Amino acid sequence: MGSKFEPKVVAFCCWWCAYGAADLAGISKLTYPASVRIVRVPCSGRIDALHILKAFRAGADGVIVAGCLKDGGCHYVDGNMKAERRVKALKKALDSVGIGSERLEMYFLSAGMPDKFVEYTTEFARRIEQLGPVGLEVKQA
Amino acid sequence: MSSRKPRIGVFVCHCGLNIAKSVDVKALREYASKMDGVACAVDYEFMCSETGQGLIKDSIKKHELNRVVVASCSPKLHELTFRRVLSEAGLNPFLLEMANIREQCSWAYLFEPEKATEKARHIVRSSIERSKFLQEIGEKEEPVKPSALVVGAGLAGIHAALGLADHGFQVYVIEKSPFVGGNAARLGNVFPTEDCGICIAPYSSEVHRKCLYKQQFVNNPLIKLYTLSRLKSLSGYVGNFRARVEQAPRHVDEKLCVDCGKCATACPVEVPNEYDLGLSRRKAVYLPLLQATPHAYVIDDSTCTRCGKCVEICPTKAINLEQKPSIIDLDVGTIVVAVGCEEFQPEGLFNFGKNEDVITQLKLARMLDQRSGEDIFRLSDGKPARRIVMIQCVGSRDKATHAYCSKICCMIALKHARTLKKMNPEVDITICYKDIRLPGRNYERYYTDCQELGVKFLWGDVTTIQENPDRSLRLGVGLATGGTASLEADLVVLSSAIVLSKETLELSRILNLTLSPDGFFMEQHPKLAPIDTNIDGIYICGTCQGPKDMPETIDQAMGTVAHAAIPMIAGKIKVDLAKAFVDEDLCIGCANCAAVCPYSAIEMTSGGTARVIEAVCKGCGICVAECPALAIQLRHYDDRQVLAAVEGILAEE
Repeated sequence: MGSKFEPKVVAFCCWWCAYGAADLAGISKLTYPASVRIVRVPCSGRIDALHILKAFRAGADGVIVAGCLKDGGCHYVDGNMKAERRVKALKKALDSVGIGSERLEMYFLSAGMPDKFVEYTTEFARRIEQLGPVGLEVKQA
Repeated sequence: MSSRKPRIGVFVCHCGLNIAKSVDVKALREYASKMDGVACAVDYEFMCSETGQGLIKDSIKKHELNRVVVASCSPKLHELTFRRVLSEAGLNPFLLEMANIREQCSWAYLFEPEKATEKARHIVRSSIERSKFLQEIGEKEEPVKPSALVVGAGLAGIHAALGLADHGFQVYVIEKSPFVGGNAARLGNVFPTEDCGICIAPYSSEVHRKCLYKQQFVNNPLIKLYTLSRLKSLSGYVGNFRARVEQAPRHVDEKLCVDCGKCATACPVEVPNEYDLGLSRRKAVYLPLLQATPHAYVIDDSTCTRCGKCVEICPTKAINLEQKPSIIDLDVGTIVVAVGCEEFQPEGLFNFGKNEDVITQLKLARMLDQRSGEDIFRLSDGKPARRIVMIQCVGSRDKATHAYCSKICCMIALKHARTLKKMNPEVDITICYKDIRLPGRNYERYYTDCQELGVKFLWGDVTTIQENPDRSLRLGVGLATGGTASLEADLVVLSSAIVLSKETLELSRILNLTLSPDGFFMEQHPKLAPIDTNIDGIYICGTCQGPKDMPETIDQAMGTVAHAAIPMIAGKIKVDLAKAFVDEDLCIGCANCAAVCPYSAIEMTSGGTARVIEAVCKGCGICVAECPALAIQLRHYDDRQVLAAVEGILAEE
């Protein structure tokens, strides 16, 4: 690793909205930190604590769960709201295990919001950059 | 085959230079070739081309591949293409994994080849790792109903409906207003042919130039029109949609109404006619316009006092004040959305809404359509409007309102200016513009005509507008070339933007369609799939997809006909079985999965365990995340597959 810390961020993107927004960001030639690595899932509601914790364990310094817009934007009715509930619960747990809740964030966006995708991921990656790597003891736990 | 040791083929696409310009495709192929389980790694200029597809098929056979990773564009574009390639080579299509190294990589880091190449390595590695856990998934065939729903009966909707009916499909058209034609029916003469918008609106190959109320749209045995109707809900999927429509009462039986007009004479209620933007008045029972289709009166519930005078006088007993809204369920295979647009109401801009003589182009269109003689008149005092100033790009190309160009306002302004000058050469017309944009075929002559007729063009922004004592208006213009100019006007016409109506937002939710950042319905791809949407079987056309003129609207409507016809002609579609399933041995019967399923696709069996109803399951996986016993999994996105992707994308090189 060089002198500057380059974080690894996993972004779980729902197929219908967040993944589409990331695609449109690319189509529009918008750039965002290359540290943001996208994992496709059908719905943000598919993601549970297991996936997020395993991501930290596998070396992620931050995890994003990105789903459709609130208030009816979800392709699967309310999968995004279920994801939000799980993310909120897990954030508390992350604080207690020393990873820190600020390393996990959920975002809501439509497939037509490439600018939001760029804004959210850029902000989050910057935040993780400032936080530094997840403690080694966590990775080895 | 999938259970055997993985033999993975990795196919790296250059996409011409789209990928190869910033991702080092040779190095990427080399990297992939050294990964565990990879039996062959190939790079090629265009994997989606016939040759590229052949390359994959040949490699599958030659290297006995049982997994395929294609590193190329977004799976949104070509996943189905490559799944088909696998099928044709005898592999189950779900043994494909796509690595999105174009949208997520080469295009996002266009001028940073190192970053792009490194990220591409992560993505390809993730895909390879995930591919090892892929399993064969079956498909089943579902019938496609040979019927379509068209939402909106404006220019686009009418053309789509006629085209689909010409193919022999049953077409249901729902229209929110009591008559068809949409905005086209209000525009008066339309460019570039200067014929009547009402006549052109329903133009089809057979009935050119017939007025709306005479033509075959309403008489076509395959087209069923529901006016005053709105979509309330939608369920199902391509081939088998069920649309629930609510039809408001017309209170006048279309078949019995003979258009005698006695009801309107007897009606005591008079209100502004919205068809004319209030320029004329109508009764509570009314015919919106002389050429209205369906050609029957309608009673406006919001203003009718239920006095009953119309019922008494109607000679054919066509009126029923007690009629209630009705609910109609329509089963259709495909859906065309053609809900059109509306004119932006620029409240507060240039005194619009405060001064009656500041109007929009649509209102001017109505004034010109009703004119007699050589003048149009000020709305404030009825005096002839001899000095007219038009302001372009009102609410368009303006970050404070809408950043996009509304595309047709230049032509509408020129069309109106030309008409006004031809009516009365003495009329003084100035068009204040930012740019004049007339890219359409046969459009340029409007510009030259206007110049020859003496229309003045002023390049600049109108910065001030004030009322003179004689009610005329004084405009201050900041000229683009420097300096200022002052204009006197009897009438100021704002070339206002095209926007989607608020109710379209609700419709987008009902249909589950995505809206673009500019607020219009979003196409599947801005260039390659401009009339398809994020939902299979739902197509968009006309101005609800973005500002456009009539020829483009009709092009798109015809495009939706062609696309909607594809599954309906085939008569069947393939539905994959990438659905959730329950391991009964692990299930503890808590029913959490059934509780969270948005589609009620999980039932509890008599044995106390959960069971997924495959035909209803949509494959979201919400239930999987909820199960405390790890007893339920989602095919193609089970925990091992998701985790393999996560670990692959994070692994150190």
